[in-house]
Amino acid sequence: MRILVCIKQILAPELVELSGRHEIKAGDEDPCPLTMTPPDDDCYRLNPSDEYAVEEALRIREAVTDVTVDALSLGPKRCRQVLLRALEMGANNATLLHLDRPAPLTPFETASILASYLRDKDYDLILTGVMAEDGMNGQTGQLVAELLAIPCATAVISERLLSPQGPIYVEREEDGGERTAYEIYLPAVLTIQSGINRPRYPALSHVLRARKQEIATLDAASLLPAPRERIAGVSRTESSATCTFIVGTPIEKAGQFLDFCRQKGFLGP
Amino acid sequence: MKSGIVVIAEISADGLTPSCRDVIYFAGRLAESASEDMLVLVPGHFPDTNQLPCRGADATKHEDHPFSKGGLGKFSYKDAEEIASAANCDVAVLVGDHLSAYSAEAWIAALSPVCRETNPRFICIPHTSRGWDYGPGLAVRLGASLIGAVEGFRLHAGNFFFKRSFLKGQWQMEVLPEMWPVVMTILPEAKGKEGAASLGATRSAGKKDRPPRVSFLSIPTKDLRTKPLGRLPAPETAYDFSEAEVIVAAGKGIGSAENIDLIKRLAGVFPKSAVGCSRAVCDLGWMEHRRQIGMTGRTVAPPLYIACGISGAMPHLAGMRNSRCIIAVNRDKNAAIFQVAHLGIVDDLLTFIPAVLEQPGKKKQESSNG
Repeated sequence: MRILVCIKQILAPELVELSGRHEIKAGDEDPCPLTMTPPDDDCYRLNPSDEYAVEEALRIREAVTDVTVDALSLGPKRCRQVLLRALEMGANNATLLHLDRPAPLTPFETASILASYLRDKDYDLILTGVMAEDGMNGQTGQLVAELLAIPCATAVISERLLSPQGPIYVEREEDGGERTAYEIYLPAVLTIQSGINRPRYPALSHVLRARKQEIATLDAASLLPAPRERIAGVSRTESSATCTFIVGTPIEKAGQFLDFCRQKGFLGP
Repeated sequence: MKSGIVVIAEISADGLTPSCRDVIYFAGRLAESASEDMLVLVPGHFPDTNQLPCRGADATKHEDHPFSKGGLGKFSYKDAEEIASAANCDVAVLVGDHLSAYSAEAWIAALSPVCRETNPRFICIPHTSRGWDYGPGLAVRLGASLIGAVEGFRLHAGNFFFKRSFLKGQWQMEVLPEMWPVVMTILPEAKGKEGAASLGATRSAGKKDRPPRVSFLSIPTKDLRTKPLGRLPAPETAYDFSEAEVIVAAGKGIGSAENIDLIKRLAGVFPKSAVGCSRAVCDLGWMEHRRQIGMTGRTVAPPLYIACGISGAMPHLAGMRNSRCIIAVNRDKNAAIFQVAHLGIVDDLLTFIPAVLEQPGKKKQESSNG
């Protein structure tokens, strides 16, 4: 059985918040005004839910015989970093679909490129994270599945193969934490909910081995489809008109906080 | 059956879900702006439809399986009529035995031919764990453009721009569709702050020439590769959420599992309190899953909610934004949580919470409840 994990390198959202080193520029002439000015490579990381997906693929390989786990990413050269991470964790092979474009791809563009590449690859199971923390779309897995005309389940919180070639038993998480269970015939796409497992920390021997492994690189520019929607503008979310900020030293803030709670009766009689 | 705006309804055991009502309201506003008619599609298997003029509807009982029934509850002809008259729009109920439990594959197969025939400009789907499960696939099958987690729209020079958040809610983008139809998943809050408006609050437009209709379409069974097995209950809720007057919730900003103790001690300052957390904190194993607040956890609305180190991304806000009073403590003054907070404190939790605990007069409650 062959498993593919699609992983994304993201700009760490908390660095966007805290460092101020990034600039998202808005401009009307630009066909896509959203560009995230790249600072240095340490601001990028593997999207968290994709890390859970890599771990889940490795666990399936450990539970069943004769499984290979490949990792695939799409983007500029710096995305080799996340593929290297997947190899360090234990993936068998890694491939980069190379595309150097400053503007972020829409989920449809990403999925179209992935699906074009995957069409003749015959993977039995395709895993990816439930949502990328930067774009917050959570659509790529479903789009890839539909483009390949195979079933998909999102927000998967538990799964196990019912036989080595499938079907696979899947529980997906719904609103309020309720779960729904499915039996799905392979090939299929599963998007993995964060928290499904505890991703391993690569052992040093694996890190050293991964460094010697080759990361296949293919040019993806020719696979880019015509856009179906485009980002017409970006802005900082406006600051709230209703929030009153307490200012002062920590002691003063603490005092005002407690005064507020006392006035509202939350501190009891 | 042509209509410019299609809403795909979501129903639960209690009928139309609240988030679906919000989406119908949103779609009504869109219909007015676009001068279009609206049609609500309701996919499902309905036990009472054998009484109705619906060709081929199969009303046989579900077979038993080890899970609780995944059926679509008490939705009835009367409910469909209620939507139609309240929202002043046509309602089409898609009836199929294989639609008795949700799966993306069955929904997409059932909805795509109906959507194609209806030929709408906009297809509005609730942004729920189901909506964003099948919405993207439906968009591909229809050759549509796709916009997720839509919060609002703006009409400018004949173009519709749709607003959505990214980067933990700190940034917003406006998306312009370039293909038709447009499939959108709509955040429940997108109705705006007018409160729980009735379905028809904005529908002064709409069909004037005849009363709205309810129709039933029998959906043929397909060979599907996804077999729904049923539902499993959510993990037990922390017992104290519903009783608490004050919920103190920890986000990833608390920094480490050891610091969770500070959250508990802060909660101890209040006589009737409980501690909760964001999904990220559960995923890291710092708190149990039953304490998770948000879209995939519990929805709470206590008199006071104190968000500590929570960035305020949409899935968390969905679970607590109706709290009567919200206080947010976050190091980052741009954190999205301040959008919904009434009182904001920009500070490090490891500085602020100890400062609160050291204030005179707080020890009494802390020692009796902490």
